Amino acid sequence: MSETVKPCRPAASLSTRLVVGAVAWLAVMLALGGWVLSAAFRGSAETEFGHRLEDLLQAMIADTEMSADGTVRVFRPLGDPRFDRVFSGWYWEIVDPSGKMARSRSLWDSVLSVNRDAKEIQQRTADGPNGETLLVVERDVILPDAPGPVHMLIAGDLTEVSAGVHRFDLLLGGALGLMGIGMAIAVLIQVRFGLRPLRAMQADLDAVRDGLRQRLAGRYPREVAPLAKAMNGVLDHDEVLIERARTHVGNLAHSLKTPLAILQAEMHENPDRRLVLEQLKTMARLIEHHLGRASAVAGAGRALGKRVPVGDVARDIANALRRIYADKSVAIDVDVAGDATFHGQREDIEEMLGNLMENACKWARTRVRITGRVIQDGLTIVVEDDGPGLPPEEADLASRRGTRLDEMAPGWGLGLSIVADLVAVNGGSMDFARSDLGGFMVCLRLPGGWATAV
Amino acid sequence: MKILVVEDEPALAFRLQQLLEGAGFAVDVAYDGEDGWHLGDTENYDAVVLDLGLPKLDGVTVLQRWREAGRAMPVLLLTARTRWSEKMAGFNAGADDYVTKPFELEEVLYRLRALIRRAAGHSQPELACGPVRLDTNSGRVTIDGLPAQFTAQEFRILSYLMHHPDKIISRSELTEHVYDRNFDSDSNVLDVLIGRVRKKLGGELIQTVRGQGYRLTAPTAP
Repeated sequence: MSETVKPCRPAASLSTRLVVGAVAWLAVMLALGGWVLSAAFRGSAETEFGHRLEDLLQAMIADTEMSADGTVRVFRPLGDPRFDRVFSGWYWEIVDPSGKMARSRSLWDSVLSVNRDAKEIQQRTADGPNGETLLVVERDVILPDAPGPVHMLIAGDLTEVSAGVHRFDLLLGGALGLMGIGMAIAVLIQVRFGLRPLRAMQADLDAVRDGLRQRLAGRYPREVAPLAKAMNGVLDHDEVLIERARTHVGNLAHSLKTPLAILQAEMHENPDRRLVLEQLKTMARLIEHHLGRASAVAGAGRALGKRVPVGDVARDIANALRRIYADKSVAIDVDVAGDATFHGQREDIEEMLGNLMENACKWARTRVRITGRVIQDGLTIVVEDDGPGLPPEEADLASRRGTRLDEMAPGWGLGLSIVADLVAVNGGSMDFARSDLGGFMVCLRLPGGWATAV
Repeated sequence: MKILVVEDEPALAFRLQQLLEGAGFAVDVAYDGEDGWHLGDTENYDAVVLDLGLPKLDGVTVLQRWREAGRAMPVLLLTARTRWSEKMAGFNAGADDYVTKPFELEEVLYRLRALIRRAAGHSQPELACGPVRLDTNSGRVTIDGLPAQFTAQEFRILSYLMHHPDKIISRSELTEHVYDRNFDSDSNVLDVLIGRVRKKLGGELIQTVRGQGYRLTAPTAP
């Protein structure tokens, strides 16, 4: 009964899968969001800084004039003291049409390169005298009295922006991190709460295994209730199988003791050959009967999702029986609805039909009829013959005790009781009646349906 | 009538051989599937007793190979398995009947005789040709209602002819079906035996067809 299962690495737990999946996704999404926000903030800060420089450039243009000696001069300080502090990072530069240059005091003796192509206002980054990164805004300006365009440039230290962006990034990272942790905790709680019924089921299973409980009893949510139901079904089925196998083996052991005792007693004296032979036959019959039933039931039933076409099985058996009973010339009439199927193992339906049909052939005078129909989501099979028949109560007895009804046709009792066992294991029912053909009629109701209705 | 017994259990094979020879059959025995398959494939048997659980080649495969090769002799299966699903494998492979172990030896004899008779196209257990009657169930022969005694070899010849009445049976066919494979077919033993059977039957039931063989024919009513 027990199948050996190869030991293999257990799969990661459901909660680990759910939590790891959710957290990984969260991390990716938060990182992406953080990057987008940071980039947007940096962009906006740099734009703002550029605007400030442009405003300063406009102010400088307004405060610039051509002096009488033809040089350019800024006649009013720009207002920001940083233009006067050496290497402060804030600089301006003016190049007049003759190429002469005026510079802010902060530049001291260094020079910022100018881009004379920038006629209209333009922004670019450049390296400052201290190696700092500068945002440079420059343009050509036509001043009154000037012989040509004057190129004016103003530059500010971008470190100021970077520091702001860095502070923002830190804040953003902290906030997103906290949010991530919060959400991960929420996921964890959700998963634990969601999977609680599974843990309850596991505890139930442990209780069943330890013998504390017979069946899974808890109330399970809709998604796992079918699993619990199926598991209980398997437990029921196992119990039936074990119970039956135990009964058969117990009966066998018990019933063998009598003939063994007789043989033992007989062996002390001169044994009577006929008596010994008789007891041996009895023992052989008992072994066949009990082990036959036990082995028919062992492994029977439990075939989820299997569909066996009953017509094919019945016709195969009929062909075999026509050969076996060729002398008797019994007409075996198989009338099974087109695609009626048995929901279970092929061996089971073969065994049931084989035993019933063979019995029918044994007793029939000229005719055996097998009818198969699907009625109300179940399979109904009727096997009947035109033999002498049998009072139904006697047949019932035969199926229960396996008594031999007639020594002339051996095996009657065994066949019928094997069928009774298989019907029970497959969750069906069996009835006996008198056939309108005149003989015995067995009617099986089994799980089944149409081939297409899967 | 010649039978092949394929059975790996020597004690049981010996018992079967004894039983069948006692009943007037010529018997060849094979103790494994390969040997059995080879014999059944190359010799002509009137029936085969085939065990299902055999070493080297299992019974179902042996039977399948014979049937695929067009060997049509009747085959009686011996099986220890009582489940129908297992028997069906044998029948689907082309078996004609089965006996479940443990069995009464007479059961095998009874079923074999029925198989041979049916394979020759007779539906009744009693074969008749003029005054001669052969009860295939018991193997008894009567002439004009009186029991007649035949030796095993004589019985085989008579039985084969009775199963195939009005048909010309060649010497080689008769030899093949009357003796086991160790028989020296060159000798004139067959002629001597035919002569004895003729004498016991009386009349002209067995005719010699010159250059072709023998024929058993009922005398036409006067």
